[in-house]
Amino acid sequence: MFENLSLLFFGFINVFTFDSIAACLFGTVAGVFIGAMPGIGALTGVSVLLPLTFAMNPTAAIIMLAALYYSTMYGGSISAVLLNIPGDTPAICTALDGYKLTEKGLPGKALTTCFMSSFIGGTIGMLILTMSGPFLAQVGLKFGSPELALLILLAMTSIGWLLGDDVICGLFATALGLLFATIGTDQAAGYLRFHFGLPNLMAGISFVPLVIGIFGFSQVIELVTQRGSGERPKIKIKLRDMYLSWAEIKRLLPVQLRSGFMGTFVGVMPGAGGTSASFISYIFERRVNKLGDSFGTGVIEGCAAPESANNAAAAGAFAPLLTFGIPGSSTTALLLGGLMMWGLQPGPLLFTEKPEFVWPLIASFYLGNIICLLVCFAAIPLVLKAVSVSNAVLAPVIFAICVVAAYTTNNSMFDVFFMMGTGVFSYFLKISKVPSAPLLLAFVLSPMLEKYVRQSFDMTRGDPSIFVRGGICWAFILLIFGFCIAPVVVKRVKALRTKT
Amino acid sequence: MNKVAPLVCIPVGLYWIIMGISKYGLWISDGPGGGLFPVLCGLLLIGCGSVLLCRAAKSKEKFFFDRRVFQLVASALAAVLGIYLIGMIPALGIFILLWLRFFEKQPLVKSLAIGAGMALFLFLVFGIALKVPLPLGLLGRI
Repeated sequence: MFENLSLLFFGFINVFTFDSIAACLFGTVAGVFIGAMPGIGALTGVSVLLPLTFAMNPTAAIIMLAALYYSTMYGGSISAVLLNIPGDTPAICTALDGYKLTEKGLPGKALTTCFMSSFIGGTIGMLILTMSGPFLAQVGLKFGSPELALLILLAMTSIGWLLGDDVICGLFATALGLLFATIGTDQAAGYLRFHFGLPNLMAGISFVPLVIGIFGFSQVIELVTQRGSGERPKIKIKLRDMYLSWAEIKRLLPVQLRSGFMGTFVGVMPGAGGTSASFISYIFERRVNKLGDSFGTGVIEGCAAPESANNAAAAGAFAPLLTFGIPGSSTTALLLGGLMMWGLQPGPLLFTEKPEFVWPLIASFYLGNIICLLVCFAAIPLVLKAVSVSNAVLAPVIFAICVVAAYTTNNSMFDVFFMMGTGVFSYFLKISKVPSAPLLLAFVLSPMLEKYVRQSFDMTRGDPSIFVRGGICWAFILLIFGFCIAPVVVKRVKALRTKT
Repeated sequence: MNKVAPLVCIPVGLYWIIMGISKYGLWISDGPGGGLFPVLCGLLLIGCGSVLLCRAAKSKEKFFFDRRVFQLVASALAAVLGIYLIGMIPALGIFILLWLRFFEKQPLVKSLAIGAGMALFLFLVFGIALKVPLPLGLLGRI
């Protein structure tokens, strides 16, 4: 434990460079504003701003993206409270009580509760990440190629198929991710595949234009098609309305602590993410809290529970990402792609081989959390203006950023056309209720899966029994099996319940 | 549910299977060849695509194409093609101006301010700070 703290101290020393602090500051400010704007969300924000990191060193780049990711959780609560429109899905529960508080004339109190809870939840998640990260990495060191192949398969099944209610749609998206990943150079044997004679496809599909198309341009189309994209109401909050009394702080603290711990553990599990964490903690708190019956009518505890949980989950999701290379949510899958773009291979060896990257990154979470809190309070007047920007204005502005960002990847117009093509296709997937996250995950993970499968067969000259060589393999196989049948079982149970 | 995605993906999946088996090989020298993953992906696409297509055929939910999607994609494409003529930043600035003015019916001054402001922002961030060689277009080169 003390070793971890000394490593964290080493991280703090390294994070206090101009590049890292500037990256963290930019990421948090941008994240709060992006999170606050309804209809954008963390995925669109991170994907569109990914090219801004090209001029940075890898540590500063990932610090910026990570800061952007968890600060959107802060921002997401603002529009949920003020407009009853969650900036992102994890803020859905916050809107239930937050907007009722606004209707009661207490938006300031609701926002202060959300910011404080986000801060406390985030800190709990970061502390658990600091303590558990090196331990998980030690466990990961015991994994060989077959275990890693099964682990990736587990991640693909757990996240990809559970994200949507529909297994077929999830599988379809996974297959599309695989399809994109097979274009270009074969990772296992080095052959060129499916490049159709186009030089731009020989090195494979570029990650950045793909994600900008899927999460950026498709979002632009959605914003344009959404009806009622007129101006939003302008809201004013005075500073004195934002104070919480000592009695209220004492009431909130146990809620924030409980939800923070719960959110972290949910966040660590692949596939769960901030949305599940906020829902689970809200439901749990409604059952155990003295004011549980009043939840949904405008109580500050109803804002504290989901906000603390989703920020804790955002921090917790970094544990499987950094130690096993397994993303805990769709945004961390995007960050995984970003890490790989920088030549960093997340996994057990990252902690031992690249401590100069991992610990400053973890230290930056603490720093970013404090900056987020300060930004949220300091920039309230500006954020209120940002929240009132209509979709009509947002759509062409995001499109312009998408075009320049896609071009920046390889300074090629091919990427711009590719981004637009994937964006339109992704929009058709959206209206067919096919989730995009499994596609992204399969695209990022399948080249690694292909490599580990090939390595495993090379070790035994083609004997598949290597995939059942020990307890770890069997545990993974059982989990994969469980994740595959879970959605079917859940659906059947739900159908039976509705019948009875 | 619309039929576009499965209708596109089923023939693509078939092509991936054929190429995976015939060109890249399923099993080469005691291990999976370059064709194994394309074949798996092709099978998944065809299987899931067929189920989605059947569902779409059975579904009573009527899918109607939003005119605004076509308008957006066509004008976005025009803006991107305009990059070849007048350069990236002016083309995108003009796109924002025209979109806000004519499609969203925003006031001219507001549209102009957002278009010009955004063009300046993109130029400062990408052109100056990140030193990206943004396309100048035919007019820019002249």
